[in-house]
Amino acid sequence: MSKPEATQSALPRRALSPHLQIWRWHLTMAASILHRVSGVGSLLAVFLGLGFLLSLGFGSMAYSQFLTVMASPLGIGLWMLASLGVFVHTAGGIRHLIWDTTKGLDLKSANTLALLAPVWATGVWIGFWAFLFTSHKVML
Amino acid sequence: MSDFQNPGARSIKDWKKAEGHGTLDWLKERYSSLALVPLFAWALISGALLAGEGADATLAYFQKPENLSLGGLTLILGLWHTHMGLQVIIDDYFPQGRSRGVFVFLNTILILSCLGVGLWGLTLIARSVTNL
Repeated sequence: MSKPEATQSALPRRALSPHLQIWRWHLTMAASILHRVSGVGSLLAVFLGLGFLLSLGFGSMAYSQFLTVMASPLGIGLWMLASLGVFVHTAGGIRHLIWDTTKGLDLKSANTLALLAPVWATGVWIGFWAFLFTSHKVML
Repeated sequence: MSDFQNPGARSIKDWKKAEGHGTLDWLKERYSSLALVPLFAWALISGALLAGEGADATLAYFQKPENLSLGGLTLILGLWHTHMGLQVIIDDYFPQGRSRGVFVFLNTILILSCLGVGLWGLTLIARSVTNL
């Protein structure tokens, strides 16, 4: 038996975010999608961080094995990718906190902030990894 | 300029009130974000300091009460924030139906599992003996 009409009409009927079907692409929309993607991508940093904590807790042998895997090109690549996700998501979060104070909501400021956040995050991320490589803390 | 473009022009009494717990959810997302900004800076500095260091130096760093506390706080607030973020995605793409319940359940299981593993790791670190 099908559901009564009253029950079906009571269900919320709305478009699915990010409304790609009805909106043309613009900067703040792309920034919003990037914020969501980088947030989910930050899960990689969570898993790497948990691996770090657990191996350190299990003792020097387990930690050495963890470091051996993480010092490989694949391991370094995973840390770089995870940290980029966290940097971009943090910058996007700060942008949202600024908007939450009702500042920067006019079109020009909103577009500037939408562009500035990932650019700043990528710049700091490059600086962070450049420091690790040039100081030989991380080596390929 | 309309009120939409200048929301600060409106009185707080004019704002639409959430019908459910949306306002509280929104505030929790913001407070956890605010707290995570300095914790992220701490994690970044710790990563830069400890990269290339061995097990003993890393263990000694994390056994300091302030670093152990900050690590625990980052873990708890980070996972809480992650749970809320994934919940928003579920709300957006699976507003109803059986799949929604499955994803809500999986989100909770994922976060609680990560929390358990993280706290276990921190407990092992706190109880470890360093050679330094």
